[in-house]
Amino acid sequence: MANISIKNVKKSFGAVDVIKGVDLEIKQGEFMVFVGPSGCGKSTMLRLVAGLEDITSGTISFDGKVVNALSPSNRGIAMVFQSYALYPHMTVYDNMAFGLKLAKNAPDDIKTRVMKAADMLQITPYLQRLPKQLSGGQRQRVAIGRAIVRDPKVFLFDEPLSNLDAALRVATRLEIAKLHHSMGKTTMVYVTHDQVEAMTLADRICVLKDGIIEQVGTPLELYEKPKNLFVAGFIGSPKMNFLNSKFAEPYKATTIGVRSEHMEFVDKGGWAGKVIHAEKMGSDTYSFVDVGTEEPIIIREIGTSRHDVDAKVNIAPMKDTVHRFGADGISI
Amino acid sequence: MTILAVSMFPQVAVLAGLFETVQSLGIYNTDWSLIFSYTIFTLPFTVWILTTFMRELPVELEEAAIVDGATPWQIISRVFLPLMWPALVTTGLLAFIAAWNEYLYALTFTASSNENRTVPVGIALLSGNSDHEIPWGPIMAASVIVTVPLIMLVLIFQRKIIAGLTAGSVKG
Repeated sequence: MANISIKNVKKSFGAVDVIKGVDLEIKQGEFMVFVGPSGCGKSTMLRLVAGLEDITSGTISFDGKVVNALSPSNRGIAMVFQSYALYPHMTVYDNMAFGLKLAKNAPDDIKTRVMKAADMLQITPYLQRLPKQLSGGQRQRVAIGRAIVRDPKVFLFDEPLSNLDAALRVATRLEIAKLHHSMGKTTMVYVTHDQVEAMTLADRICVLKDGIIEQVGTPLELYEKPKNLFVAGFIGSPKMNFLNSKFAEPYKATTIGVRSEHMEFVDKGGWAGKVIHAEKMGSDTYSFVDVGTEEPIIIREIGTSRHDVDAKVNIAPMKDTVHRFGADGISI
Repeated sequence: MTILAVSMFPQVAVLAGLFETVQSLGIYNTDWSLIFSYTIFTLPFTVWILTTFMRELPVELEEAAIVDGATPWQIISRVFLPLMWPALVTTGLLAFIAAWNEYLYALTFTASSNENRTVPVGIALLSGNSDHEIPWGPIMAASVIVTVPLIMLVLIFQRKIIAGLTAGSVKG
């Protein structure tokens, strides 16, 4: 239940500038995802919002009130850590109730809130167990539960899914999305390096690189209209195909980018090349075609491929799907 | 490491200086002389073991407690101390055994007082009817009796000594 406003925030660790001036508005109830390669400062951004790190300069305010000097608990935030960080000597119930007990809530109130959160996350049967008796997915739910009972204004997630296996990750992702719908007014900030998580969960995504915001927008905005080469290459899987020099000249650009689903095999014309590898996923086939660029061009076909490895083929981008970038890497 | 360096001196090397200190403090031939010197020699070792253990506690636990609104004192008393129990008990036992078995200081600082003698010194000073007789029987009996408290302590705290209490807090 808070608008977060980040103004010209900088953070240095000694001589190293990690965050180099970030301006960002996060609206109440919004699900904002910070995404970027490792070392881009996304976790640091989250910790600045949480209050676990001091800001070197700039301001962070919740609902217009500057919170720079407030402790995490006074900011009304709750955080889910990558490593869960459950208290190992406390039962699940005590883990979830710890913050409320410290805040001197009435025992009845604590009980109702913990039971409600446990019910929501389906961990009621485990309330009397210790964290070490739980599986990874259950621990993560307890960690989320511990955050929910505090009824936070801002909910922070620091790569909560990266310790889970692939199947559990998809299931927990769905849980978090449902949580966001049921806690409609709570602002959520989520950090990940996985662009699939970013695309599926976010209302808006903030792409960071080297402590600077590259682009902020809805998932589809970033996907369809990337502002620069970095965002174009980072969002979308498989990666966007980039071509330059003689391939880009006809489009009056230094570099052009085409997504794999916007490439097609043609009978003649286009770019001639050779299929060097094909990944058969069942629903789609990704063919890697060497047309003389540094990296092979990836083409998606629905179903199975009609083109064998080593076959000579001609490929071309579909009409009006080419992203054009200038010499400075900015989209034209 | 600086702390640990203190305990690298051989006991004999500091004995003379320590003796002077004990005398000037006026605690010669009292329990305090041994309490004083044993503290000096067991502290570096225990501090070293405990700091190693504390470094292994995940930082996220502390941060989670901060987010939960715990004060520094509450973080120590309600989160870290319960996790530190096994380490505290283990190092406590080790320090106790070291002090219990210590001979040199005990001999130097308390030997001339019959009441304050520690057990190892007492056993060593057991004498037979003549100078040429070593009373092996009483010495062996005393050694066995002296070992009993140690065994009792270890048995009592056995469960606490079992490490791995941190398992389940973070992944793995």
